[in-house]
Order: sequence, then structure tokens, then C-alpha cells
Amino acid sequence: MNYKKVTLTLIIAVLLTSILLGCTQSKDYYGFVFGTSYSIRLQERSANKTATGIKKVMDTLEGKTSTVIAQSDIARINSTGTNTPITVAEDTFFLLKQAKELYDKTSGAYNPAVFPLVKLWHFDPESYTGVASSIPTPQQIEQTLTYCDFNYFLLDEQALTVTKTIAQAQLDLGGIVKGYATDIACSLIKKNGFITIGGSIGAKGDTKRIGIQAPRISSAPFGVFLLKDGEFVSSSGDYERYYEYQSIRYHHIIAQNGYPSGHNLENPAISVTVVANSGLLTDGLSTAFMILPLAEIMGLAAEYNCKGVVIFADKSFATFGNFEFELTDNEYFQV
Amino acid sequence: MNTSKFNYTKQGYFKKADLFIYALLILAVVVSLFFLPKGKGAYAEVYSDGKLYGVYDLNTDIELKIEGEEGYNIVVIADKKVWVKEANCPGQDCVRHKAISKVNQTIVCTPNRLIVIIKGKGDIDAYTGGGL
Repeated sequence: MNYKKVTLTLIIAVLLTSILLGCTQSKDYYGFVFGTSYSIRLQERSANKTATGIKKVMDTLEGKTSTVIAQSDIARINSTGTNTPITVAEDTFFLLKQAKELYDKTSGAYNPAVFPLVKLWHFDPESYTGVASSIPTPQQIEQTLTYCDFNYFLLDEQALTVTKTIAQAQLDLGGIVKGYATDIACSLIKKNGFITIGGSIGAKGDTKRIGIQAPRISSAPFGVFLLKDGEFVSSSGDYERYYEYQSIRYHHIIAQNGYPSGHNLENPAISVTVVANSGLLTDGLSTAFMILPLAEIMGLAAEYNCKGVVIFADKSFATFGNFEFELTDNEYFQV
Repeated sequence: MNTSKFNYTKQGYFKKADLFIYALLILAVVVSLFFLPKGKGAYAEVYSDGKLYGVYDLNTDIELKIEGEEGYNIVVIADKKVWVKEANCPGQDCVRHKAISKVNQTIVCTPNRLIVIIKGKGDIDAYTGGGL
């Protein structure tokens, strides 16, 4: 071999190595958005560019929908009095329309207008501390419940405005915005990867193996399932944001009666996992399914073509929509 | 440089012996790929304020006090598990979170902007649901 051949050989070797490494190595990106953490794992060329694009979209969306950022569409709606139309961004309006549909379809189990109650129970990001020296009185709950009707918000699609009919009504799109963000993120992933935002995951490319965490302290995950290209999963549970008061657990998913879902029920749902081809849908439905009885879950699962599993306090579980998974913690048992 | 000498076809650039060397090289690259990333056991990556704070072997017990811009978290590694022992965050979700030991499990402290993730060879890509 002369030196040119050696040079060429080396160039080929370096190229091969970089191509093969480029094919196999994935890149991870971590950060915080929507009051929770996110992670993005990408296996593609120009992964950095994709990740930057996703982060930008998430930050923009947070800027429009946050209850904490004063200039956001949602914060402006919340701080405005009656009969004053607030002009919102197109994607805020899209989310509000989707929220309205889910609110109607789930008989208010998914309710973006429950925010006054979330605040009363101190589960909002600004007052949540994980401990409580008291809980709201039944009178306070009853009073606040009267403000938590999504129909107090009039949506004008032509003008892109939202008008409140009572001043106390307040919105929080936190129940669907994370899932919606996984939808957009996956549309930006070119080849292979996934994104996790809070309890929501969106997959693109190769099938991913997803573990479902057990809802209580346990040595093993509850189960494992396969998330295919274009599928999304969200989990909700009474373990995310909660406090205990007089040995009773109070968590952040507030039901239509004004109390945390499952309150006073003998065997409440404590964790719900939903898989579908829309992250917005899985995010919203996982919250609603924590509240709804199993029969209604089955009906909605058929209507929305989604599948998943509900885990109850007694460690029994029930699947819906032909959800297939491998049970990895044998303390749990099928209903 | 005389570029005409790089005319492969005319001068029969790829001789049998050369092809053998190329094949060997390809084999070496492929084989090395199998050994490179998987030689390590599980380890914990700690991110603070969005930056990698450190990487810690799960086989080495350690107690770390991570001071971020928003507050501190004390992360403990022992018995091949990782947990947050103490933090000055409101909510204390990170402290209540169970110890993690499996690849791709995470503990997050949102107020203090801390993320702990276990990396290494594992068969689960990601986890959903909480589990305090």
C-alpha cells in the first residue's frame, strides 16, 4: 500500500466509524417546562437542531398557557373580570376548543375550569407545599365549586376571544398542554426518538419499551408495554401532587364534587395509564379516567380508540381497549 | 497533488489484499461498537439547572449536596440505589420519591431544577407514572 491508499483507508475507517456511531448513539436533552421536567431522546442527524426546535415550541406554548406567567393568555383570562373579551393566540384557542370537547364528553371529569378548587386545596404551583395543617371546609368547597363550570367561558372562534360570564371563574390548561406538546414534539422528530413531559410520553420511529411505575413504593415497576411509532401515553395518579392530613391522602385531581377523586370511596383508582395516537387526548383522558367509573371509561375508550389500565387502591387493576402489557409486579392482580 | 493518480478503475486500486484489510477494518469498527458503550455498569447522571453536575457509579456509595440556583438537594447513592435524602424545596416531592435503581428511572426536583437519571444498559426506554 502506498501512502495514498493508507490515507484513503483511514478516511474510510473514520467515516465508517462516525456513520455507525451516528446510527447507534442517542442524545438526551433535559430541562423544565409547564411546571414539570422533560426529557428528549433523539437518534438522528442534527439532533441538536431538533431538540432546540422542540424546546422553543414548548417555551412558546408555556408563555401562552401558563397560569403563573402574568402576560400569558390564560393568566390574562384568569385576572380579567366579566364581559371583557380577551384575544388569545391560535393554539391557545385550539386547546380551549379541545378542552371543551373533553369537558363535555367526560361529563366534566376533565375540567380546565376546576382551577379555583385546585387553589382552594393548595395544589396550584404557587401554594403547594406537600403538607397541610388544615383542609378546606365543606362550605368553602361548595361555594368554590359554583365557580368551576367551563360554560362560564364563552369562546368566539371568529374573533379568537374568550369572555368570562362570572369573575371568579379561572382556567388551567395544565391537564392537556403537556400532552399537546408531546404531539408537536413528535412531529418535529425526523427519524427516531421520544419525548417525556411530566407523565406523558410520545414516540417516533422504533417501538419503545415503556415501564409503568407502581403507584406506591415497590421494588419493581407495575408493568411494561410497547409504545409504537406515533403513539402517546399519559399516566395520572394520586401520587403526583398530594399531602396527607389526619392520615388521609388528598391529591391534586379534583372530581366534580369538589373533592380529590376517590375521596371516601372504598377502592378508588390510584393510577391510570392511557395510550392513544394523540398526546393531548391521553393527557386529558388519564385525568378524567381517575374520576370516572369503569363502565364510562370503557365507553370513552371505544369512542376515542384508546387503551390502557386503571390501578385501584387494593392493588387490583382493570385494562380497557385491549391493552396488552407484561405485569412485572406480581403483587397486583386483574379484577 | 496529482489527482489523476486517484483514478481507481484504471490502476486497479482495490487489490485482494486491500479488500481484506478493509473487511478487517469494518469488522473492527462493528466489534468495537458492541464493546464501547456497554462495558459500564449502571451509573447516575445528576443535572442541576439544566447542566450535567456529575456522573456517579451506582456501586460506589456517596452522599452529595447539590447547591443549585434555587436551593439544595442531598442525593444519596447506596446499595446500588439513588434517592434524595433532604432538600429545601417546597413540596418535598423529590424526598418522598422512592429510591430508583433501574436504567432510565428518574427523580426530579422541579423547584430546585434537579434531575437524577440512571443510565447504563437496560431494556426499558422510559417510565410513565409516578410512584412515591
